[in-house]
Amino acid sequence: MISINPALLLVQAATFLFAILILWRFLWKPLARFMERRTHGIEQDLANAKKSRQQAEELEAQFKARLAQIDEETRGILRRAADESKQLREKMLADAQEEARRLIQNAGRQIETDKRHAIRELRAETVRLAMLIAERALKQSVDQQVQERLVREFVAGLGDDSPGVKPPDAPES
Amino acid sequence: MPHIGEAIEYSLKIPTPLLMSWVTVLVLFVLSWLAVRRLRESPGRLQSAFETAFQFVFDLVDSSIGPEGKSYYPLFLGIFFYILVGNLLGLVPGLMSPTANLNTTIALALVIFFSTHFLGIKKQGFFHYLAHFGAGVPVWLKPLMFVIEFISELARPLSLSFRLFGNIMAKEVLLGILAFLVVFMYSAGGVVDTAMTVVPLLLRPLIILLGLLVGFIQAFIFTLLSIVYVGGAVRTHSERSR
Repeated sequence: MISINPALLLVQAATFLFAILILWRFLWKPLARFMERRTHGIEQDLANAKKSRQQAEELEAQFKARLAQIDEETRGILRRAADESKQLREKMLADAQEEARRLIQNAGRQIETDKRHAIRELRAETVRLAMLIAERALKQSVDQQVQERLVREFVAGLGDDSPGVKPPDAPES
Repeated sequence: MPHIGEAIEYSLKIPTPLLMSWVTVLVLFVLSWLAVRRLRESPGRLQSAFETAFQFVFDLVDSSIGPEGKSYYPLFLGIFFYILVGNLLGLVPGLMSPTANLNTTIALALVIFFSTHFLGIKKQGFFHYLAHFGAGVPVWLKPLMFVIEFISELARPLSLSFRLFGNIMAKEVLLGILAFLVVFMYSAGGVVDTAMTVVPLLLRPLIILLGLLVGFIQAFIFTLLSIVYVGGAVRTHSERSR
């Protein structure tokens, strides 16, 4: 068992070398290549996953930036809308106040006009009535000339808002 | 316990260790064929076991030699599987480990020895390779270092072969003695002798388990040392320093 047989030793070495040659060539090499391909595939998948993750992180950063920008824009829009609504409200208020003032002025003018018109009409009516009364009263006693003078005095008295005051030079009726 | 190999040796004149080597190779062929005949992405048990062993050896080679160790994969895979299956073969009743014979272990050690120096010379060139025997020492020490390194190189195949042979042989002898004791005590006839049969009967499975462990460990040690030797030869002094 402990003796060394050179021939046996050489045959054993040759058996071993031949065996690993055949085993590697036909059986182990395909398995090793299969494992290598799978390892390569896994590495590729890992690299792709890493790349996808980086892209996702970049997209996330972009989205976050875009969201921040949108948020800022929204705040700006809201701020502008608030300003515009405030301005619009103030303008509407000012317009309304202006309109009210204008309406009041118009109403005042209209009232003044109507008042003057009424006074004028009233004066004319008064004149007409006075003339009528005077004409009836004087028809019997006063001639036409006296009658007209009386009417003029009366009308002049109305214009001075003191119908009862007679002019100093007016003759006594 | 008579071996089947011895009976064949007697009739066919084929040495038992050689016959057991052929059986080892045959077992390796069959197992490898069964493992790789249908390669699947989700491997079965046998494919998984082979892949684990392959990856184990690849990692050892890569860590010791580096990326260029890829071209030495077949040699180290062969060493590992051949020694492992050879070691475990002796646990099968009627068979013996080819590695329990010195001729087999020396043959394997010589393969590693010549591979180491052949690959070293091929990688570094003859003179550069010889120079590494005395590298890293003062010039006046180089001749002495060369002699020491030369003796060390010669001792390597001896240590490799005798370590493997001794471990596996011890296991084989122990199992043989225990088997002999079972038969001897049982056939002695006395009550005490018959009762004592229990001891070797209980010890034998434990020794077989130990043999299983030793078989794996020795295959690992032989392969690891082979990788270290080849790695030391193919890597230049500067690479080793790094």
